[in-house]
Amino acid sequence: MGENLPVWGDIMKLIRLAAAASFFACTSFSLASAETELKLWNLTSSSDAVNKHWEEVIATFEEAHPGIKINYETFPSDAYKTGLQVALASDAGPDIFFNWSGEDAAVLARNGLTADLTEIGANPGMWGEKIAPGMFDAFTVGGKIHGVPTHLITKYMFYNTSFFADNNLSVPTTLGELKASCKAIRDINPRMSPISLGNAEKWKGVHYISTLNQKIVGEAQVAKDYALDGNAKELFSDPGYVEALQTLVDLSQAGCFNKAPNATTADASRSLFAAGQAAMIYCGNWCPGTFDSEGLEGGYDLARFPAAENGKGNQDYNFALLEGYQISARTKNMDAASTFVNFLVSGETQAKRARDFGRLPVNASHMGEEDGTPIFRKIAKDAGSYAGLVLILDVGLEKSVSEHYLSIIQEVLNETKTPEQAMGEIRARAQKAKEQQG
Amino acid sequence: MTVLLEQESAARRATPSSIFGTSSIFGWIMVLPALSLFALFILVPFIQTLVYSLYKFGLTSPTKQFVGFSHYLEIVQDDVFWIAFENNIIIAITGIILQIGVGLLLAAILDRGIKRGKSVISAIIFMPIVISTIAIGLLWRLVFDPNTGMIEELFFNMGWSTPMRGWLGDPDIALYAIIFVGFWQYTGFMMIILLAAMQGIPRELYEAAKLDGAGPILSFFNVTLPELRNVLIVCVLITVISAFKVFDLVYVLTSGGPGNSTQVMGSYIVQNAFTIGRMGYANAVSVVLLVIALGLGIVQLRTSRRDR
Repeated sequence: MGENLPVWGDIMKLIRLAAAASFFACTSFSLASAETELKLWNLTSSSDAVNKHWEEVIATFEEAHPGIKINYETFPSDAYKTGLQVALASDAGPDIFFNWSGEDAAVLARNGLTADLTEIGANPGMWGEKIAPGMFDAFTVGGKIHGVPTHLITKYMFYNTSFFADNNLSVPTTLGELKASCKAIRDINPRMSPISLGNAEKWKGVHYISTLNQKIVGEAQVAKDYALDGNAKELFSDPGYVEALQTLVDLSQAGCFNKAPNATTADASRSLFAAGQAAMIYCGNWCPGTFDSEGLEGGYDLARFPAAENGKGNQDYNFALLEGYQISARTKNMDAASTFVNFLVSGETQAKRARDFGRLPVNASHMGEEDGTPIFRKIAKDAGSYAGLVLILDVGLEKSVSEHYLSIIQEVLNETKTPEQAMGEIRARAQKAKEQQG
Repeated sequence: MTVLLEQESAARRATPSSIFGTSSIFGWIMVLPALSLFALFILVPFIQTLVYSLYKFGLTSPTKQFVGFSHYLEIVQDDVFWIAFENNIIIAITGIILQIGVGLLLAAILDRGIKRGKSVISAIIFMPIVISTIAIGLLWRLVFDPNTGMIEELFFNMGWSTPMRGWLGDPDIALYAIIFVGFWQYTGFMMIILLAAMQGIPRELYEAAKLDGAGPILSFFNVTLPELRNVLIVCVLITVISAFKVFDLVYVLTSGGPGNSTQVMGSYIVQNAFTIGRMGYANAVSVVLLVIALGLGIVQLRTSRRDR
């Protein structure tokens, strides 16, 4: 019997070990289940800098908030808008998601899919204290804030500095000068495209027309027409809209663009400029990364889009759009989600975003004068002098009208429709959309 | 006697007791899983689409507004819908001529003309069908690029001119560029189906034709083609249905542009549903598409039965 004791002792030890293991397993299980998981949706980026930035930002946040885990998922921009709407209407949607300001964000808010962030943001230490109040207008629907802006995207005319310097060309400041530059560039090198334009996906052309509409028609009229405000029969009746389309045709006829812009993708147009096959490109502040990685390596500078000589708009407006993050109305973790969004607009994260991939921060409290690349600093400095932001046609205008505008710009550029015919169709579409809105 | 037996058999088949009898109950039980799946994935969505086409609502709208048949009236007056419909018809007709025509020619060459390397050649021709259509679209988009594309370089080096608006940017050419890519992708598939059918034709028929003095061409028209009739009907059915279902290739290559010149019904439905947010209208176009596809299917089935 006595000899058996050690055996019983071993068994007891095993039981104790098993009990301890079970206890720790249960404890760790309960800890794991206590961890809050947030699904974050964003656009897919081909830029290593952007992807690395998000890895680091999420790691930093999770380290500072051990109870919160971020599940980061990305989607290509074409599929993003559709996927987001479908997912938000189901239980499979994200807790936090990237969105463009304007109609894209507003439609979700109107349909009750995004959380009202007005009260949360007003709490001490939250984004209400970090961002200028006017910036929330872009995400405000019915007097309630439905998104937090994190950065500003903007567009400039980038030009190849060595080509301009070698050929004693000056940077065009008016549309007339731009047309003259196109001719001069073609005379120097017929195979060099003065401006690289890729409108196969239709949105590059709409950026030109958005800018030209503001400069030629004027911001007040444009805002009224894009909102389908006023008498239905007078919508888009300003002759400036025809002139804006005609300006695009004139630039095309002056040989400004590369061959077949409607068959060239936006990516291909950036590559043409980066490869030195185009002298200029109207591109966003996200483009320098592509230019550098594809071989231009800083051999470019930027200027504002040329002014319209007789335009009715304020020529100091610039193409720009606030982007940010919204929180799903269905999230079960509102506190954690708002903590993460607040982290995105903290001075440190904003400075890191600017340094990592050159986005203009909405909170520049931690930005030094020497932060970022020279191009970033130039854009950041210039952004302070914008008289206002150009309203972007496919962001601000009702979708059935803006989709038709997108298609018709291709047709005008192809010269299969005249600007007059095109605006006639746009007017009809706008009237119909207004009637349907009631 | 045979006639009497057939009549008796037909009468037995038609009696209510045989429909609801023990053996039929067993039959119903056997087909129940398939019927349930059909109801769940085909019938219910179809009825839902039909009902939704009578309402006005967005993808994420919390409410729906009943509008009756107004979407169908709008379709009749919608220019873009008719462009899309016409493009689907063009894709179907050219698909029959090119994919089946060339597929038939290639199959005949492989069956009766080439003696060596048949498997390698058929594998090469068949290969595009196994590649994702999206990948094919992206690949051909690069090939068609008006500034750096392979075709542009080839034509430039040969001293030939290319369309000023680009292969995919010219409204008169873009649809045919898409059709060409579809031809490149699906011809191998048609060839394999037809080749398999040709190899099943008894060789004695060709020998008999040869004895009657028929050469290869006469044999093809008098032996091969009649023997392939049923398979050709299947090929036409597949091509026409695919032509009306086409979406991915158009979406990747042109997004329906330039303008709406390459819009097809599939891309127009997606644009209305997900980009513009007119779900009710998109459902109405889907119903029209379904009716057209069903109509074409019925016509083809009847034609094939009559031929038999």
